[in-house]
Amino acid sequence: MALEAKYNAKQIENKWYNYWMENNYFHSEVDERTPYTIVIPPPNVTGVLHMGHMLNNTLQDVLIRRARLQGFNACWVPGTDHASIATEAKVVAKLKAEGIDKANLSREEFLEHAWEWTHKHGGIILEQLKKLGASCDWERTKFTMDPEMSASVIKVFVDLYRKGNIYRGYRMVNWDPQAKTTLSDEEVIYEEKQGNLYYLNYKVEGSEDTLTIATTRPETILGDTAICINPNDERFAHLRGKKAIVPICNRVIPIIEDEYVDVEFGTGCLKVTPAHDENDKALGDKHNLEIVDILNDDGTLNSFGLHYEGKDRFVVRKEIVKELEEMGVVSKIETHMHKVGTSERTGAVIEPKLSDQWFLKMKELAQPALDAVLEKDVNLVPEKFINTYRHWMENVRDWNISRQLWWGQQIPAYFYGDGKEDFVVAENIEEALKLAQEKTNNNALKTSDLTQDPDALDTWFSSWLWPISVFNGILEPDNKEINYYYPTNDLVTAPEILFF
Amino acid sequence: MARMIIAGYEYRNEKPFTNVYLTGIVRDKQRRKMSKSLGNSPDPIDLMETYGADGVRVGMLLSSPAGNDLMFDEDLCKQGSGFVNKIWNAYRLIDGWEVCPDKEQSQSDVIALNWYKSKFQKTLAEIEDHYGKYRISDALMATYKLVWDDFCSWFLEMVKPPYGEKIAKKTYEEVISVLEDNLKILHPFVPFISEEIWQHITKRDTSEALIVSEWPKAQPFDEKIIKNFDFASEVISGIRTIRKEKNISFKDTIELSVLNNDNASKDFDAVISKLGNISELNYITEKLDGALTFRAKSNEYFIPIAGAINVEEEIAKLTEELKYTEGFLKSVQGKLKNERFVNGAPEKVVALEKQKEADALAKIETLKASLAGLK
Repeated sequence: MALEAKYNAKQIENKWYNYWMENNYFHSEVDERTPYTIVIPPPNVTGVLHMGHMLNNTLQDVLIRRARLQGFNACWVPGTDHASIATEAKVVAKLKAEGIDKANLSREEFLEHAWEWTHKHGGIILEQLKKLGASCDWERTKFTMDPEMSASVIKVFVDLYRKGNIYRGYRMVNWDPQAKTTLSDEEVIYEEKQGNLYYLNYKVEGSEDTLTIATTRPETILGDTAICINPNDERFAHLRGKKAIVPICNRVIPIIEDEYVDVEFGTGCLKVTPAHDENDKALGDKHNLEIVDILNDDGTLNSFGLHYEGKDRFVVRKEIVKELEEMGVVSKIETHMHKVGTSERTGAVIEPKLSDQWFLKMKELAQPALDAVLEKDVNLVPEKFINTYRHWMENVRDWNISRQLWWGQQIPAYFYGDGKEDFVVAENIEEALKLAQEKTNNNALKTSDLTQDPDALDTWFSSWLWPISVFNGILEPDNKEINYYYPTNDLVTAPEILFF
Repeated sequence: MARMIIAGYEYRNEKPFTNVYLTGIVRDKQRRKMSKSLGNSPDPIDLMETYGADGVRVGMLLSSPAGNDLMFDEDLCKQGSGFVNKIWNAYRLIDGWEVCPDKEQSQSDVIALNWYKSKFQKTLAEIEDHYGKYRISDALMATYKLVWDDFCSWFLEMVKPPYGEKIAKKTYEEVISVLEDNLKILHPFVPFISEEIWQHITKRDTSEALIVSEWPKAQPFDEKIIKNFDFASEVISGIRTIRKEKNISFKDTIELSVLNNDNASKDFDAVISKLGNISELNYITEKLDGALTFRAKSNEYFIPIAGAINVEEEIAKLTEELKYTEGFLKSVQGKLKNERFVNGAPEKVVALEKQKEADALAKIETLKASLAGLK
């Protein structure tokens, strides 16, 4: 056969990819050879290939092809994750374009649309990887919402709950008012933004005195429930035990004392808004303060916003400053650079919000994972990432794993009453019923009396099991595949994923 | 990733993976992160259409040390597909050779093969080291240089049969064998073209595909032959430079005399003769007069002029050049004698003119010496 003068890449690439597929060279089965395993960090199911994927997957293919040539039983497991928030946002937008509001759909109806979308757009990225030459074992392709993958997630949730690692807490979480869900700390991106620092005068009750506070968020004064001063700050000795009056809503609030307030910083008088700031929440808990939440889930003001009810938080910020200026309580306005948290997915400014959410205690769980990297049982390449990893792991906070979304594994908690503690956690409703009957001593309880928590789990609560669950190592911990392929050899990923 | 490790210990009591390779972030030339909203990201599918998947794979890895950002430029993919074409053309060259079953292997064939096998082994050891440390870009670069420089530019030139001649069967078979080893180490980077060539070399059944063949085994290699080649390559470059400067066509043979001050190995003499098109290679003990000369380390090489170049033409050429340079010198010196220029012009400009004067004087001296040698 004569050789073409010009190399025809496209034709030759198709020919050999098909040949490799037909002869099943990418497929791996347990045998007597030493395995060499890579699991793909799962990309979003409805995503398309970008340059980061190209780099990443080229590297994985180089490693796996070399291992195959070296005589290892090479196994590269491909798959995708369901990307809860990203996919749900796309489906909501698509329905909206068709004149359908998610709020008018039942969970089942919505999920039907979401599955339809997933089947239509899903897996394009895997087809694109084939063009690159990726020698994945396609027979092993997994999706984080495959039945056994979801069952693994539920099993792990129940297990961690029973071990006391998962709890439900009324805590300050990161709220994305656009997607209307909470986010984990890692899904919040902090951006340096220019804003204003507003100095506002509050009247002191029963006197002609005023005190001055400084805030970047004047709209939240409507949620103030105290003013805090440092007990050692002699400038404000005259304010001790008095009360202040919040402008506009005229709420009378206590002036409390706490060394938490930095005498050197700001005006020395701190407005305390427990519903809208994490530190204020801690102060509020300590001093038993009232919590006034002024926001709706979409970032508009609620009835505590008085005449601003129904208006967006940023609109209100402008309007309330005008009103406060007209009232003569603005003493000055300074420009101010500060860090603003935004949603990785929607870009919306994150609202700290108090709500009932599910959390996973991390400190204890993280310890062996920290040791493994420090002792180089797990090697980070390049090593410069070890310090970053250590810092994060040593300061890890409890993981908020619930999302106010439908696309994902529904939290397996079943409520039998209106009380905050009136729930049981179980792998299915039958088991839940039994537990609920025991807990309430009420054998008359029926499954119809149980309501499952409507929230879904964070996608990372699926992905973190990936290297185990793709070999069914959660449901059948002693099966021959997991015993053979696990631990895997390499994980190739972008540094942004370090903490996920 | 961190959470995967956490889950691994909680549910398997064991790590989920041994190595975590953190890639860089792909950025554009202005160091901006590639994103849909910026519109600065090329479509990977379009890139593969244009440069081929192999070309893009090489392009992605050309400058991606672990953990360092990749400043992506489409030129990288162009370079990648250039590499693929180089491999293709090298194979076309080999494929076009006619094999002669009875022909004896020449001395230069034997030495070339011995050298390349050692060079391959030395590079293989480097590549293994890079892989072991997850320096995948470095592993690619080592492979790339081996194939492009050592295999294509040197080795194939050494074993290439002279125009109109056939290649000895034994040499051809060994060339194919080293080519096959090349394909094995190329395969992870350029899986498609490597399989295409592998399957074109001979008919193979499904168990013999490149994808499931065997990685080359590490073997001891001869450091000395590699060093000797490096020296020989310097000599060959010297010959090529003289041929170019003196307009001596490669088709015309020349004589080469060596003053072997370094006591350099003579192993590559056959190769030097072949690639330099040397009719006679002599070792001498005294400098040769009236010859073109160059050095490699402290060895001196002489190419007798007689027969190599047309003396009349060369004298005319040199005389012409001397005349021009002398005229140039005169005009520069005229400027420098002009006090108004020297005192009025910026320092830099004056310095530049003085440099021109010095250069011209040096050139005149060289030209005069060359002319004296010819007469």
